[in-house]
Amino acid sequence: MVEHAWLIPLLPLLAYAAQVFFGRALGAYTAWVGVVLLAAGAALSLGVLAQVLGGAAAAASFPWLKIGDLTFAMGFRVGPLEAAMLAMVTVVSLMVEIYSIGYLHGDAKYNRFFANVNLFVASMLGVVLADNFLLFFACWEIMGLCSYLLIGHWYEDLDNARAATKSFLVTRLGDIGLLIGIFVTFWHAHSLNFADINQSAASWGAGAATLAALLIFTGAVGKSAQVPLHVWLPDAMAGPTPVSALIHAATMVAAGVFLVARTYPVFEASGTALQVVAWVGGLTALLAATMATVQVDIKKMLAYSTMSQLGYMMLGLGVFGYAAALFHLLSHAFFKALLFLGSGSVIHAAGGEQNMHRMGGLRRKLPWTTVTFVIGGLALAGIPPLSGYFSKDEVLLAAFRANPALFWIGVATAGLTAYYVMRGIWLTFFGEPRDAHLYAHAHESPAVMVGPLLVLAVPAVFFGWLGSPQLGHALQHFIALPGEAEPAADRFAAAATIAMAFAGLALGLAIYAGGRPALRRDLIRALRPLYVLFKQKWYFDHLALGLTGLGLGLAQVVGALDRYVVDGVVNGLAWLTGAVGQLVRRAAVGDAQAYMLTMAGAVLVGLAVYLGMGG
Amino acid sequence: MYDFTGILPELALAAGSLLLLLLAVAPGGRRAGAAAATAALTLAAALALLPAAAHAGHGAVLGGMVVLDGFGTFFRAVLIGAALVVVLTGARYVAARGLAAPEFYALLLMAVAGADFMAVAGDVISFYVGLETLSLASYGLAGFLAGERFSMEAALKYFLNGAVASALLLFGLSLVFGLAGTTSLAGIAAALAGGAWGGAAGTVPAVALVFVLAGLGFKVAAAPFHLWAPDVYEGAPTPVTAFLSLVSKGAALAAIVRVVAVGLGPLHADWQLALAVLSALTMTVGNVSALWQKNVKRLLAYSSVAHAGYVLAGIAVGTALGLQAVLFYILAYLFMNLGAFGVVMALSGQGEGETLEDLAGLARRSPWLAALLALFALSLLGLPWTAGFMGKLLLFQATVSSHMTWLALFIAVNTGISAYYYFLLIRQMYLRPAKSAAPVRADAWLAAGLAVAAAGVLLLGIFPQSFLEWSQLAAFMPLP
Repeated sequence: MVEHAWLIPLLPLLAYAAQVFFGRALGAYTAWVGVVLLAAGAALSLGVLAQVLGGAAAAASFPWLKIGDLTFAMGFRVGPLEAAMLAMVTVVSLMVEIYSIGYLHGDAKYNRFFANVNLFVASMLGVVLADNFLLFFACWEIMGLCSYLLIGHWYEDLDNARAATKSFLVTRLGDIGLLIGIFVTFWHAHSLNFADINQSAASWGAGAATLAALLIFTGAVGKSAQVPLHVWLPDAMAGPTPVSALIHAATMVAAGVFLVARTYPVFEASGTALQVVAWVGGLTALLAATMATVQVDIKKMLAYSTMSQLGYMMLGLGVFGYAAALFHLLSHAFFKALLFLGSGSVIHAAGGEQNMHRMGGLRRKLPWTTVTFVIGGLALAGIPPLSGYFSKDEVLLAAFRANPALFWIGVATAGLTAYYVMRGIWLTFFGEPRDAHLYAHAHESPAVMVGPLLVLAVPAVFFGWLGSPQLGHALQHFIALPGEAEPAADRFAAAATIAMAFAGLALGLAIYAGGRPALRRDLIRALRPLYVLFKQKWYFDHLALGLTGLGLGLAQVVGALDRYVVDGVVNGLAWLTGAVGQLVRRAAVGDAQAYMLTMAGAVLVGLAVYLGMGG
Repeated sequence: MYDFTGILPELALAAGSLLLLLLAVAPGGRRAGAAAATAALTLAAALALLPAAAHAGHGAVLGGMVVLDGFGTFFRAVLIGAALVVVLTGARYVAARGLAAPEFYALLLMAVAGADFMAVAGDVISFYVGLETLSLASYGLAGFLAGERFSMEAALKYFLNGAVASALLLFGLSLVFGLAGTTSLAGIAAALAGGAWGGAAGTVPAVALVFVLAGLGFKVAAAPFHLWAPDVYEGAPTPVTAFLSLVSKGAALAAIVRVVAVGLGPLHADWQLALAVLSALTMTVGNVSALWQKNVKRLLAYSSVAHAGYVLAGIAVGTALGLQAVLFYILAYLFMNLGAFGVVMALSGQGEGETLEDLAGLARRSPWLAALLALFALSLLGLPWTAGFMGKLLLFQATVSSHMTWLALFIAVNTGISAYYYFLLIRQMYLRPAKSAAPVRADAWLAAGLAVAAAGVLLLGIFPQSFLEWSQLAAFMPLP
């Protein structure tokens, strides 16, 4: 089965083709085509995973292009990490597609939505399986295109269209770096195959490895919404919520982390690059968590939380916690998809309202959503024994062993995370209803939406156990790089992490559960500067705007150059051609004669040149 | 007694052509459908006979008139295949516009036979006879829209200019004959290498080269010998335009390799410079002129001038890699140009205009045609994952590895210039409102032709390897 893993991306691609070509004929069944094919893909992925667990692996490629003595091969590779990713991506996207049947019910662009989602899933699976940068980059770009199309799904609203464009442009900025990085890599490795690149990375020299790694990392920063290219992710919440769950929480944004893992030996060859990865990740984790604490929009809160968790993963990679970071990637995918789908259920119930301050008390109306959201939230907060606890603990342990400063940043982030999770849960589901009208019309979502929530709640609880110390870190051993050392456990680090998580929960409870708005007002007044800083998102959007202004200024200079110099030359040439044409036209009576005259002139010029050279 | 197996496809084409002329006087034989079917079957038969012909021998046969090699086989397959697709896709146009079908297809088959001889010529005589067969038939084809002023004018212009070009070419060839004392291309190369009349350093060989290049430059529409092309492409019936831009141009490019790169091989230093300059000039003039075109056929005419310029760059390099790039590029050009003209044929076949404005809103009227034309335009531009990109990549590799980086830069800059008008096409179709809501329909054959072209563009772009190997085999021929 494992040697047929390349079929897995083709299944959603087939669904995409069917939906594009026969969408009208399929009508309401269009979604089920994707669901059935994705279910087959998930089954195949689980089969592959089972075989890989038994020690199987597969790789195959064919020479795609030979120019001179250069050969480019195309192919796929399935090892432990790929198998685990395949299973995660297919299961999550299957759940999201089933959920979307309910969420998008009655949408005018129903068919188009499912087609784009399937194309996205196919390209994400391509990213996972690709054994070379060429295929990887092509899939990576298609993924970006799908993200753009899906964020702008309701493009009739200009804000959504603008958000889509912003996300496209910002991630493209990172991709330019990645593309240059690919060239640099090729320059040194003479191959675009990951295996060749990783094998030779150590021999490039530290400078070259640093350059290549940092450029590759630029692409990851854009895709995984790391500081400072994170500004697109909160805006991307303009897309339908299932899209946020799939693309902007579980899969595409994690692809940046996956990219760093994929080329990890290049980063290892350059100590500097790993340091950069660790610090960018740590800062992103902390900054995003602070911003999440002041969000009123339930989806934006989750978006900042995603950024923060992606920061953890980068941090883990940066402190040699390769297996820990990928463990967190996988466990995060499940509980964050669950949280997003849960928020979608809430928004669905609340008639499109996303402001948590207008909710409250919804637990009585949405029992299933409440239970699953709380499970996901506690997993995110890192409360044992849910899955987020184990994976986050592993990342922090790696940081503790490598860099105390980053460890404390991570611990602080853990506290903030627990605090905003509690805040969000309480504002949404507990207390008294704050909007009577909204509350009166709220209703639990249909089974097709609740079902996926229940399914995803299972890994949100149990997945982490696979990597727990009690089970001997089985998952980490499975996905680890050969020869990767496991950081020794530390009771102090574990205690600090757990204590911080509970402290955050308690603080959230203390501030919000009492239902005393006066207390909150006093707190905000006392912490005014911090509150404003977080609310203004650390002024990153202003910075981006300023940079855009600078960029626009530069663009104007270049534009002027283009207009007056380049265009001048082009226009001048054209004018010259036209003028010569006119001249010849006037000189001769008819066109045909003019053409012959030109030919004769050209022959004379040619003769003059050669005779001149000869003489 | 000669063995004619080597030219069976061409004999089949000639026979088919004569059969069509007989059919024209037979009762009921004037029906357009019957004539198109006869022509298509003839071309299919020629294609089927090609393997037998290719294996009939290796090297010079028929008294040295014909050379059988991979290069010739490649071009014969490409030329006959392109003509077949043109016949099939153009059938509805020919019928709807009331063209005299039997004569039309008879001339077309004759032209293909001539083109084939140019690709396999081992002798100046067989090359020249092939060229004139192709040319005379083409003049007729260009004027086939009887009673339409532009068509008549196109034919006349083409003929007059063509006659001058033929004269230039003949003068050059006669000088060559005078130098070498033989009409065999291999013999000419040997004589020049042996130092006849000063060999490569002599003045007379250089003069001959200028005249030969002028004559052949006319056929491939290389600047400044291209001025006829836009007029003729615009005025001629659209299937003929497609035919001229594919078969006629392809045969002329093959002939440049045969006559100049091989026959005049010892003059390598001279023709390399001349071809490189011609190439740079041609791509630049073609692209810059295309910027201001309002008529789609004229625009595509200038675009195909520019593409001839790209191909000439590969010939100018003169290495095996360059030749491989040339062959791959011609194959790519065939598919994307066939596709682009096919879409125009769908428009003009149902009496729609051929200006850029007539393309407005095509995406809404006929989403499939619009998507296909967009694909062909992107490939002509050279975007990744299309045939055009692979072709340009190979040309780049060939020019750079032969230290002609300046020519590679010309290709790059020209690609940038051409982006403007290719995107103009796409913008018209997708971002401009349609004037009418009536869909543009393609008949089954045209649709099949477009599908073949699209498949070719994507296959060459995504899975280039097997085509590369084919072109590599075909490019294996004696080079200086």
